[in-house]
Amino acid sequence: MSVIAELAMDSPVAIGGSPPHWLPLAAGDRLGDLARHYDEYPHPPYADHAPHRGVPPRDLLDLARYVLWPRRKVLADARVLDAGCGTGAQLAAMGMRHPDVELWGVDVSARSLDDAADRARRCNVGSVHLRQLPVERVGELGLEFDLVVLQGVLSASSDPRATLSAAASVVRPEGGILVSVAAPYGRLGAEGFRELVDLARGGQPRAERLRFARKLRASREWHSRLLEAVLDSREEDDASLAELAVLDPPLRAYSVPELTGLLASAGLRIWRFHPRTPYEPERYLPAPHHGCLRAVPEVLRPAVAELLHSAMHTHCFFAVREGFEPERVDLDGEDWLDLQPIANGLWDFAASDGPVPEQAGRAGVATREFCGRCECIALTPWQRIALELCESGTRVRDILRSRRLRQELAGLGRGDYCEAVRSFLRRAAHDELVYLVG
Amino acid sequence: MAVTPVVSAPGGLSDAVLAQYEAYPCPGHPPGTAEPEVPDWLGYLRPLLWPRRQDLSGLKVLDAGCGTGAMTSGLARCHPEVNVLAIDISARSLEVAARRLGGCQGGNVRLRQLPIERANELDERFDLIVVWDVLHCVIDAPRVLRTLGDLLTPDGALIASVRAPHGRAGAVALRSLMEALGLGLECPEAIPRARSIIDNLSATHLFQRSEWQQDLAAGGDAAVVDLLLPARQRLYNALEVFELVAESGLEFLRWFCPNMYCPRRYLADADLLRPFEALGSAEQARAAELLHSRMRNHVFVAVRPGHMPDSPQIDGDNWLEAIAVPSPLFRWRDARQETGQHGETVFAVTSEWEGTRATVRLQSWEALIVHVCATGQCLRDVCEHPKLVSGLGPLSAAQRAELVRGFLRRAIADDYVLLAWA
Repeated sequence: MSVIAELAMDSPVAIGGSPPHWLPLAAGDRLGDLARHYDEYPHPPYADHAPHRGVPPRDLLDLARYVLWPRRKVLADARVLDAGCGTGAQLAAMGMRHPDVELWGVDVSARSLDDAADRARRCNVGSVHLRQLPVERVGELGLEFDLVVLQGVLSASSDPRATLSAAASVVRPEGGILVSVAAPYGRLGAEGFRELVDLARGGQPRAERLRFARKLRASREWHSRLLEAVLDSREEDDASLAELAVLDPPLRAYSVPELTGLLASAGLRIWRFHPRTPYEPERYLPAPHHGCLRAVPEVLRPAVAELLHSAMHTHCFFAVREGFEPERVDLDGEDWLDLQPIANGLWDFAASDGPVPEQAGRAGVATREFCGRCECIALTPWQRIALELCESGTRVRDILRSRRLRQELAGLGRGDYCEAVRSFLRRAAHDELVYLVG
Repeated sequence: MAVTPVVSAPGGLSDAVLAQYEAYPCPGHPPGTAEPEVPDWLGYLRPLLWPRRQDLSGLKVLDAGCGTGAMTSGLARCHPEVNVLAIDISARSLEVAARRLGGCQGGNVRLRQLPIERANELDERFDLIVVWDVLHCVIDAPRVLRTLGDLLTPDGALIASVRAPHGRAGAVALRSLMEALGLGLECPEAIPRARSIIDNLSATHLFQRSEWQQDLAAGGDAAVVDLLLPARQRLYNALEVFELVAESGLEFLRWFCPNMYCPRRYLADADLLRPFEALGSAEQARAAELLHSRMRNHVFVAVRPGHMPDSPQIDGDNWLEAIAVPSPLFRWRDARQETGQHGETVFAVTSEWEGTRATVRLQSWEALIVHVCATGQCLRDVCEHPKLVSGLGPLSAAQRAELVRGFLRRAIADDYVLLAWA
């Protein structure tokens, strides 16, 4: 067992009120530019007056369960590592929602770890172990994890292979790695913006470069479709702008084929994108093209979807070890009545008319935005009710028993009624309106 | 006019590229299509490159990689007094070019099948070499430019248009898409499929159909192939253009539209602008390209090292000996009268080049100066021209000259007036 893991066992785990402290790197270990950058601009920005917005309805661990372990009953015995945890927003969210789960966070930035510790204390989360450690050295923890979170880390890594290999080495054989990473096509404007800042202010101190970037972003004298993306949604806070404009070396974006190659070199593969449906090429082209899309090898399909979307700025996905095949559940099995459909919180529901084809008896639309492109799904009144019933813990059996739903579909016989609901839920799972768990 | 295709063995160096252009001669020119109206770009270059030439008769031009002869036919129509040799690797493209030029009167045009990599076999020297939309598909662009540069007369110039990345980002994504779908040129359904994909793209796609409408409509299948299925396509950003020219042993003279490459065109705030203006010209151009962010092509002029056209300078001692030429790229005849900010009459004149529109607005006294300059008299006579003497109000001769010079200084900087020697 490594020194750090031993120290970890000695270190007190704070419960309630007292702050979980973090363990610094051994003296003599050198920290690079990355640590300096995030010491100056911790990410995500942490406002100590508002450490959290209450217990989240769902966190990354829930998501991992839906996607990787749909039949896993208990999460309390899970161990999670947020590798590159920054100011610990995700750790706090997981700690509040799953107080029994063992949480670990590593980061190189001391200031970020201070914030993470403070945030955990204020959120009353005691189960967090924080270590100052580069992601490439997480093997030194001497532990294995069910879930490793790598948010934004690959893009900032100067050795992405080493980063992924390190993460792969600490994930359990049936665990998963949640990766989010910058994507190229939607970042053309961001990259142009960065180059402009470098051209104008390269070689100047970080603060001056950031000042210039802030002003350039705010300047509306120039405009372009590409650069507008930078101005509008993302990088609205200073820490994100700093990441974009002054982090050295600049954030690196990866296309789907690049990611596939990178993961393979670490013995990993993409199990599922999050969200999944934008990576299905059929969603972008009308039916006459689907024959041509069927000829595309499975591994290339997300790459084709990326090109058809053409404005994805972030890829988020679960990666698993080669050879691990997570279980899938669907409504065609014998236990379908005992499955729980869980509504996917990424969708918005509106009763108003959306940009979808007219459909008789439509009660509204479900919409989900992904990198500037909207998916819309029309819903009839009873389908809307069925979705409302898809709350955590509700089984298909319970949904079928709902009086409201039965009233809406009063015209159907018993068998047709069950089949209608089942086939809708099947489609809803396919469209990712709901996750199915056992 | 006699158009004689002189055919020699192709000996192509770029087989995939040759196959593309043999199958889809470019730019697409379906029979019966009217020749597009081309701005007089050679008239614009004349004062810049040969400020002492009164006219262009006998000028020897090489159109290197002429394709279906779009540039050549435009040039032959606009300037029947110049001699053009047009070469291309593709026999089918040359057939189209010959058809195109058949109706052209009075020019002196020769066509010859020859890959530009072998241009050194030409036993001639040229005052102007045109390399239009060619360098993206050659294997060794610096070498091609070097070969061509060797054919320049001492005061000759080379004008090239290369493909740029930002305005083509959507098309590049679609090209990768076609590749991922396994739809290569050899595939019979590739072109209808490409068209259909373009027609069905979502409004948020990087490729905006509307921006390519004109090309796709006029160019037929060749335009679809050129955009989505090019056999080879190397893009150059502004910095890479400078590198390309340096590697080829030539010297960068200027951008065809220098205005587009000035950061000040895009930024007014002095604090933001200052660091950009402190950069070298290549970096300034790159910044301007990023600020513009939609450039599709870069058009530039290169010359033999050390050669600098001895153009008159507006702040030179003998500026009064020069003539001021209104840029032929602007449609002076179609000037519109508008009402200015203070209710005064202004004249708006527009130029359109490669999809970029520029409009200048002139006060009536400024328009009067341009009008008098257009007579071709030297500036000494312009300043004393009765129309200006009466039109500019009660000024001393010196004051009038300073007023004219101040206006010309701005007009030259904004590239709508050029100076030449009388």
